[in-house]
Amino acid sequence: MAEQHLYLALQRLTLTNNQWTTLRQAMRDKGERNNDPNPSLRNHWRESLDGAIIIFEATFEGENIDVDWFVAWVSGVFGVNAGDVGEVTGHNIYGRFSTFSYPAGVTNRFRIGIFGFVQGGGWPDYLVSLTATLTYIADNISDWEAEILP
Amino acid sequence: MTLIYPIALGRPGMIGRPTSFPILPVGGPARTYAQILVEDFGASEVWPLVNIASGTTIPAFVNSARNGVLSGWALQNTPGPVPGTLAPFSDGTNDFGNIYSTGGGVGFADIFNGNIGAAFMWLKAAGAGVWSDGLARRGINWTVNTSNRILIQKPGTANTIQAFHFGGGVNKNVAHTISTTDWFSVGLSWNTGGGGELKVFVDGAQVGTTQTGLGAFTGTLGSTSTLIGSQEVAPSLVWHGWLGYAASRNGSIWTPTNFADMHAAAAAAGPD
Repeated sequence: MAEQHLYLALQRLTLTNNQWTTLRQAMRDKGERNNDPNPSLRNHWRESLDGAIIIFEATFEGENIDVDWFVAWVSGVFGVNAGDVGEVTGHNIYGRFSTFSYPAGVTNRFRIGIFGFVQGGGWPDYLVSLTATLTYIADNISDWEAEILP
Repeated sequence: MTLIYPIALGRPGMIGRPTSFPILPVGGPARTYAQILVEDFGASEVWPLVNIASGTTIPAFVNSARNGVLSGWALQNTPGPVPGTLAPFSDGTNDFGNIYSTGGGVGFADIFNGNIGAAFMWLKAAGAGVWSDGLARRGINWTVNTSNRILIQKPGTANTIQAFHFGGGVNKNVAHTISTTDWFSVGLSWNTGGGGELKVFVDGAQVGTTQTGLGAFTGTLGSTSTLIGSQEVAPSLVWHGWLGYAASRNGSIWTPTNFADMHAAAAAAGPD
């Protein structure tokens, strides 16, 4: 699977502090080019004002950010079978978003989104993903910017 | 005496300079733009930003103790404001350049003077749409706290660039209409003494009216809020486009003529 330079969102829903810290760190450690000479290809991120959403930009290996990887992660953290982890994927104007639950379908734990991923399409190219991210931030500006000077 | 063949033109088989002989420029290679800003205009420090080949260090031209750290910029991404340079791209979402430094009395936080000084930098928007995206984006954000800071920003208001001096909570600023997708320079000079004066310059010409009644600037620049292209190291108000040549002068100001000449000098300067 090819590397993808794109923007990805991670949203905390009902994870405990420890689980959230673990998942956040796992995401920070992802990235195939974190020593690349060009910093734009390295994993770097931005957190929303309340800390509940993080936007990562990195060069990802596709199979390391797909649904199976996150299902396996949840099963490992909770010590349960992967079959007991629920996952629902949907699309909106910003991209593809998958919500993970445990027990399956009972308690949503977190959500992962890939900006610019349209339904039926392949991995978005960088500029498509960037544009979707910029649109998302602009549409939700109160979650991201504390101060707007007149 | 009559010369049949002028020596300067030369002629095959004759003693003299052949016409293809290279003519070297007088005075050697052009000085770099940062060199000009320092030597001719007294810049205290210049961060060229251009031609950073790799890594996360933002080199300072005058004193490496004032080197900064960047995150996320796409390096050497597009031709810069000085011929032969390539400028970094800031994506408008999660990038920043932190130029805070301190120590030995030479760090930027040590030499910065919010009561009398000047700032200057080059900016370029990622596209025409940036000017109407409704978001504030910072070019320079040199901040002690919300009451004491120097800002160059694109506000949420469409087609506007704006520069601020905050001193003791007194907000003085000038806004200017702009929508270019080319490189442009922005500068400001401030002096809080004698009633105070803030002047703002775009492309070397003063814009708006001179602001008076500036408040006294107090405090020391913050380690997470002395930025290029963002408000903080936790990125916010991130510039969307390209950045080049941020410069600071401390303890004295640049005059209107200085700003005009600094802007004009870029086109003929050598690359850093």
